[in-house]
Amino acid sequence: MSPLLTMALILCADCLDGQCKPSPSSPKIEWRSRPDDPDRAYLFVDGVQAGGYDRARDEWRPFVADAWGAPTALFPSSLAKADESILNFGVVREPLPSDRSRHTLNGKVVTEQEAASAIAGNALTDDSLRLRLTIIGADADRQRVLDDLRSSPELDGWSHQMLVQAYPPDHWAIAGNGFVTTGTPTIYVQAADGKVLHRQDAYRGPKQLAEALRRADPNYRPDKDPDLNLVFPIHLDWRRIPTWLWIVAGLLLISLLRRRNRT
Amino acid sequence: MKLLHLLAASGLILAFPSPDRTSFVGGREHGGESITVDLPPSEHLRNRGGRDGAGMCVMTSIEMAARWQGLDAMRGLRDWCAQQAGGAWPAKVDRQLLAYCRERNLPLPPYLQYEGSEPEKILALCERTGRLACVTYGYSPRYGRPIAHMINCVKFGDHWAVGLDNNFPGDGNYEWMTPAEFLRRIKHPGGSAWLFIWLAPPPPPVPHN
Repeated sequence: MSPLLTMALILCADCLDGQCKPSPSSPKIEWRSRPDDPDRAYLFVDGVQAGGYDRARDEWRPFVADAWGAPTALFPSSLAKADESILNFGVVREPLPSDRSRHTLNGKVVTEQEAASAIAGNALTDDSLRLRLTIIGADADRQRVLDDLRSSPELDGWSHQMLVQAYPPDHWAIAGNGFVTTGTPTIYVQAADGKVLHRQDAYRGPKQLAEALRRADPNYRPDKDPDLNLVFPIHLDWRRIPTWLWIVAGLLLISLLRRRNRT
Repeated sequence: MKLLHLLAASGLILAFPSPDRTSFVGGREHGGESITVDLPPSEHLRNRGGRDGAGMCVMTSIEMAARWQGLDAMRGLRDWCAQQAGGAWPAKVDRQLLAYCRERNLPLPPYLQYEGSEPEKILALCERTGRLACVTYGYSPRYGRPIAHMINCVKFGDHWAVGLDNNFPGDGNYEWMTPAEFLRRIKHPGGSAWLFIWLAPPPPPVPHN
């Protein structure tokens, strides 16, 4: 006998004349639900869980021997009615099956990893700690800086390391938020928490901006700048080696030569 | 038929809470927490109908997100799309964005669409990075029955998730609930959510020394 039928018979026992009358012998029927999951209710018979019902999906699942059974629709006709009564405000789609997902970037299907990191500089990766470069000014002034960020060799790579935005002075994101808006343009470099690391009220060209960005970048280490003119990748400034180190090195060399002569 | 009566008699209907207290409508702050995406009410858009009267909630949400993320060239996108039939799905969004940008000779700004049953990772990333996600929405006590809708997610924190419904724009109309309840609603009724996210950065933080 199916659990569903069992439940029905249990419930039918005192309802033969169409009215449910409690009697001393009738089992205690209780529907329980959780506040964080209001669309589901769980049936308990004499304190023992007999199944659960999902209102949204119209799914009854029996719960027997600590295991959930197959789902059964209890009100198929009412579910159809509910579908008809869905208020539609503009979404038309067939939802994917719950075990499938799909990511697209500008309309092209990509993997989850690609969605997160494929397009350098534009990925939805966690870029919340990057420097913020904000350009505020007239259209032509802003565009000059944006063009240089895209194409100037001095600023090559910087636009991918920062979050860049450009606004007219009266834009809601800027006006009234404490930004200076009178520059030609005003350029801000901020840390992620909003701390201003650099501000200039005129654009002096890509070279100066690149220099300011280097100084503002908390991760910038001048000693790690590559010098591609050098044959050896490690750059040593011989003049900066202290005298005592020369003496120690000399003594070591003499000691090594003496040992070699003895052998 | 008898089974139906029996279930009703056994209190199944009463098992569901009424009135629905799984969310509440409030302002930008609650319990010491603020919404993450604080788009000024002057930038909110109210949903409207397309040429055939069908709703434009998808493009309304998408244009609001564009406004938040500094994509001002996309202002007017919703009304441009409303010259065509309303109602949208992911492939239609792709088509319309491309057509809008081509007509205005604009580069297509990068964006991500996700369909699936696990939108929480992307929503958490949007929360951390300050981006405004557009999400499907299948239920709200405001409507009293299932809905096919898209709204904006202005917060997806550990304790609270907050929706900005374009049928109820304006300050003080934010819908607060637990993140679990929010996820349930954005996947309702089919178990699969649809998200749209512009990849452009959010506005800069307020400057300080």
